[in-house]
Amino acid sequence: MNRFEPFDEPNEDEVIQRVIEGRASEQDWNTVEALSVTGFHARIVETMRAMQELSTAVDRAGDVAERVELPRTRTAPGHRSLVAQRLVELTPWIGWAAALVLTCILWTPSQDRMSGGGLMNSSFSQGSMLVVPEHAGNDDGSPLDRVLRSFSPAARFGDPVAPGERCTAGPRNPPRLLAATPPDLEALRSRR
Amino acid sequence: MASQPDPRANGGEDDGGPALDLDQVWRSERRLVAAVLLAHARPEDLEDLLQEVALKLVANVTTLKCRQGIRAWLKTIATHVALEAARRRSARRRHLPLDTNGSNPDEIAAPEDVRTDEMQDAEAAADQALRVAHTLPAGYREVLMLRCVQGMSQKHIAEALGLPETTVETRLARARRMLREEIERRRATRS
Repeated sequence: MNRFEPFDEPNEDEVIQRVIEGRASEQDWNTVEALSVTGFHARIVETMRAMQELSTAVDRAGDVAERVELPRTRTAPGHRSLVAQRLVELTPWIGWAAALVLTCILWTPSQDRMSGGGLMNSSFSQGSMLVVPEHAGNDDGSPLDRVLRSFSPAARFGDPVAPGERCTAGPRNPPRLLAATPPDLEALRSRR
Repeated sequence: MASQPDPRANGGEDDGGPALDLDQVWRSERRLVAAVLLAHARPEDLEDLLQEVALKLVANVTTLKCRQGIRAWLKTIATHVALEAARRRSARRRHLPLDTNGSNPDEIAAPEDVRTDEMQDAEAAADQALRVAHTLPAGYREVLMLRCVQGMSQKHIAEALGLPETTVETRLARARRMLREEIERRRATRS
């Protein structure tokens, strides 16, 4: 049989409870008197003692808890800075923001980048080769033409590059040099 | 039907209100956390588990809006932490042999003490009461432990456990009887 089955007289538990907690009514005390012959007083005393013993154990646990403080972290609450909180809130938008910045860089007129620094500077200064497609120079205002114009030195100076022609360009390699007369190969050979 | 707690009922600590003072919250609630942990875990593990709950409190502070529900939140977290620790211990026990003397190292052991007889008796009685409390069903055990925390009224317990006050009253009355009867039974067996 389960020892923890509810009492046949459930009131007895509740009367003891109210007596222990100091909430007993006149009726409760009458019940206590009526049940005294069954050892009710002793049960009240034993219950109080059991609770006192358990309270001692819980108090010890409470004393352990008193020694435990919250960990100190830089992100401790109430202590987390407003900037950090805003960053956390903006996290889902970081990808979109990066895409927007990249798009702006790609579509911004390249004047500034060609004249000093910028993404293209390093590769152009190394003398990278560009192949100008056949339709270059037919400026129809399309995005592709705008991009090509920004890369092509000839387009920059209003001097169309012949289709398929290769050229080098860059801030340290002025496009003007590309327009110079090609060296006389025959004369060079004869010098040898 | 129980009404939802109004977050503004506690000093306007609502969205946009002042941030929770976690230190203050922890200082006022850590005894409750300890009691909840004690209801589900071994006293030897108490300090580690308290640290774990404290860490979780700090880590989740952004999700806590007001003081109102924090007691219930802490109770849930403490229960979870204690049960998780019990699960880990149980898994470990499956892989470890018993001590050389045949006892189980995870049993709640009475502490060795060199204090006066009177103090030792009180400590031993407290340990026994705790061991007996651990044999009670969880619902009764929690109520009983929380009632032993200073300043925890039945209303506070009902708030922390998310139960109606009448249920807490009934459980507490029965839990007290269970505790008394089991202690008496053990004493009778011993003598």
